[in-house]
Amino acid sequence: MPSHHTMKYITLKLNTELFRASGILTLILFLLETLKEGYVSFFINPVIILVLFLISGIIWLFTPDFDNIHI
Amino acid sequence: MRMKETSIIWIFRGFLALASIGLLVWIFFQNMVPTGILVLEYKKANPISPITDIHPEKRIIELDEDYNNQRFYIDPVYFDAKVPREFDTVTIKMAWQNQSQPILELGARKVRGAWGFILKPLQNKIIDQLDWLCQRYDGVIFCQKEKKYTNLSSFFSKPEGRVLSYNYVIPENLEHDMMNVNSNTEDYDYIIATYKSPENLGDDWYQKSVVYDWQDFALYINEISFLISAPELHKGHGQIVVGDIEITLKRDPLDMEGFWEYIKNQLRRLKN
Repeated sequence: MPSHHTMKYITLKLNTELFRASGILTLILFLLETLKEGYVSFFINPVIILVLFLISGIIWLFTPDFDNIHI
Repeated sequence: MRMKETSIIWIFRGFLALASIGLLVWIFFQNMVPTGILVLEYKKANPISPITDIHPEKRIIELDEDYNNQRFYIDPVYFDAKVPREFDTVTIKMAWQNQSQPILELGARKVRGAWGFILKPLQNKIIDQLDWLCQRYDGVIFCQKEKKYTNLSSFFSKPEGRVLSYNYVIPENLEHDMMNVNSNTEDYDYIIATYKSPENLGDDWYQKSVVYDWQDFALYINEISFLISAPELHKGHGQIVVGDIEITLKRDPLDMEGFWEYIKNQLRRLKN
């Protein structure tokens, strides 16, 4: 059975993965939207991914030992 | 870190990568409209509605009883629709409530930066309330105050009397007047029009579909624009309540040729 410390480490590591992926996806979606207005927003709201990026970023930033959770 | 924990992270990383790629591919295909049919529905005061609210705001009245409907009292008013790509035809299905406005028309914006609209009739109460003898030929109406001609062709072969036209191109050599909200049918002997009455939904509500060609619109970035015209509405003709608006865009379903054409068009667009 994984220890409490290990579980926390995995969760934070998964969060950094989410932070990285949502960051890249946000950039791509807003780039596409800039190139052609409505290309993305016509079908989904890109702000949803941006919010995901911000939340995961805040979690990563306020992690006490975030130095050990590499992006 | 143990092997199992590393696996979890790699699986999650793979899932995120696949989901991201999947989302981008889905957006790409949605923009191509592979089925060839896209239906847009109006949602009031909703920023993600593909059809905007009617504007300008100064011509609109907001009443609690209107719920999801829109009400205007000065014409014309405008609305826009977001479209992801080019199509062949644009069909606008619209419901409205009209108590006393004689002529109501829908316009497609053909020219940007100037007043250039292609108007098509939504409702013409002057014709709808006419008690003359009328003949219909595939959308064309020929009405006679007193029956003199057997049909429209016999009228054109030997035209006599005063003629009032509406949305119909009459030969230049034939003297006639164009119908407007102030036209009095008693002053005329014949009415020739291209017009189909709207469906009556009761309680002064009507519904009609109007079809336009894609070439009737000037595409601006990803928007096509419309106008609702109710001439002299503010001169005692009450208000118009606009209900549901549905726009159906149609083109041929996507094939390989269409796919490459789309790619080329997008690249050409980026170049410009």
